Amino acid sequence: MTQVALNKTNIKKLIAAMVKEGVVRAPVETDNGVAFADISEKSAIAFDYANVKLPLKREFFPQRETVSRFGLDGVVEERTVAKKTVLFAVRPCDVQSIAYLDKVFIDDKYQDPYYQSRRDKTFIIALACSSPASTCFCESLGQGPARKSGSDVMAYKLSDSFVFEAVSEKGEAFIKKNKDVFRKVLPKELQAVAKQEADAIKKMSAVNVNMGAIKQDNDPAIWDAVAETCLSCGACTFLCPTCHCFDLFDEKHGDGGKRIRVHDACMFELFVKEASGHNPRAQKGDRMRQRIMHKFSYAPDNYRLVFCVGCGRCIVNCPSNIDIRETLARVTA
Amino acid sequence: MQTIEKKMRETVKGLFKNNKVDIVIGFQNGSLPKTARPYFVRSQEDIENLVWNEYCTANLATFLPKLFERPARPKEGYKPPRIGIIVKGCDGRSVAGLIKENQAPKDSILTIGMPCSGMKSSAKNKEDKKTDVNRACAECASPSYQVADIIISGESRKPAKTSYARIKAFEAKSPEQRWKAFVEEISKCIRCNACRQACPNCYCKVCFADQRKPSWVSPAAQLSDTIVFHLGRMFHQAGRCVECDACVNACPMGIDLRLFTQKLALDSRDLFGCMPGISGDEVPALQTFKQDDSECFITDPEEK
Repeated sequence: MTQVALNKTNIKKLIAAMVKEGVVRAPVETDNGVAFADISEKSAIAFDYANVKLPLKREFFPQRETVSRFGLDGVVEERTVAKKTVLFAVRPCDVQSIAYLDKVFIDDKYQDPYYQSRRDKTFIIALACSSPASTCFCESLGQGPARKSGSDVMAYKLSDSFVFEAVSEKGEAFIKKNKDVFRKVLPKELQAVAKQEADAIKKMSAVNVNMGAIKQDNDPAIWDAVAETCLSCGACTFLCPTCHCFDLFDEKHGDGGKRIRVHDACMFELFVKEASGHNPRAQKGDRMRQRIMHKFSYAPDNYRLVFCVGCGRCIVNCPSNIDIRETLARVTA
Repeated sequence: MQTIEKKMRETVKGLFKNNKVDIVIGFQNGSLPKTARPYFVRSQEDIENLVWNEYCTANLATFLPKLFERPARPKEGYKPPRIGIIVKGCDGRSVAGLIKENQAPKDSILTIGMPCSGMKSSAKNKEDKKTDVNRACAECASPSYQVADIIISGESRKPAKTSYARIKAFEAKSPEQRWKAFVEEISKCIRCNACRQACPNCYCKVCFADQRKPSWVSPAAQLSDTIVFHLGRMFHQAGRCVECDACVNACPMGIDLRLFTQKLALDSRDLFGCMPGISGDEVPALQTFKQDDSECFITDPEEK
């Protein structure tokens, strides 16, 4: 696909081109780490970040979303009016997570109108990783720091320029339309891109995961041991870019109210508790098993994909430092 | 630090050898550099993994109530497990609180008191850059748990005289400014419940925020509900919070909960003379009533 380049000093031209396409969201420095925010030509984009704290799924599948309103005169379904959006400088792992969520929310049988409306109107420019964190392990999952799939355009940041490569047809059209913004890519830039990817892979942690060994009939004692120090909070699931379980909840106000969809977490003790009072996953080990099996066994069965992108958010943010790399090693031993 | 660690391992070895405990809760090295994480020692072989260093931040008492939960169908002759627990000053204060509140049987717990020189934050936790240890440790009034069942000797951090200067400065602001600061801080919350789960005092079988019949708080991360959740959780800590900062350390979003929990500690000290786990064996402030109890926080919150 078409490859072009842009001098760093001309980044404003690119932002101007993106602004014409819709709302532009890109990573910016905040008091509380790097986060996605609406940007304009004046904004300082944070390019040198390992990853944003909150996963990209929230752009398409917000933590709280009204799906219908009800009152004495009946139920009205809520329609999402998504704005045209450009997501710029997204890490490949996060882009990959959206490609996975597409399988869940937009498949042949079921289409989630809320997710789909946002997805259809979003144009994604991914940014290859040059300095991954020590907790990154996407390469071990067959993805890598410059994986293109899922994005429309792939970007690489070099010392004084950017290289862009069209990935989808939409991406190809964007580059064509804005050919005045870009310049020709130099051979030495392409060499630098290849070197950057090889160097980034070297910095990652390698996880030897024998996926075939994760079996339904694992000894439950293994899971109890893995989950022994789990606090049953939702830090891992809420920050996971592929965790997508949700709950529906009615907020009542007077004679009416709203039905809302909220993120839920399988690590919460009450997640599957039944009305009878019975809890099929009463123990922490049962819940840990569910989370790991869902990603590494059920998802491969259903979609032929491992639902983990190796971003390492759960490793960094677990209050008890339960490391998914170690968990995988333990349950596949 | 290494001799302390050695002494600790020897002590734990002795406990298992003499069949005094079934489990010892301590720390092992974390998977990331400069971290330590909770660890359950269940046999002699596990003891070599036990560590003691300046990264043992977690409050281990939070695991106790679950371990003592009576099984739904207990086997005949069921006895609660005998638990040894490695305690810093804060863990010890929490254990004392749990015993007082009947969440852990005193006879089944053996506290192993460590000399604590203050713990350092993990990388994600942006603390005051002025101190090299966590803010909770820099302000800690009792770094070691002096009434532990077994005491590992060594040098502890000097007890700090907590001035609560940050809280007093916050109190001095106008109600509007305080509310704005509070809302700003709380709006970072994603309702993952890590603060609640890491807190030894949060042991309710079903948290008020999780109750659905009736539903007091929506589970959605909507500001008004998030505020109710945090206010509710904090009020439940009045006179009980030991200022360990387990909630602060657990929060993935870096919310400065200490600014609010310390206000509870300050009021319970000044108005009721109660310092949980430090001031002795008295009944927690909210579980008792005295004729001369201060009421000014209700009648005249701006003046005291």
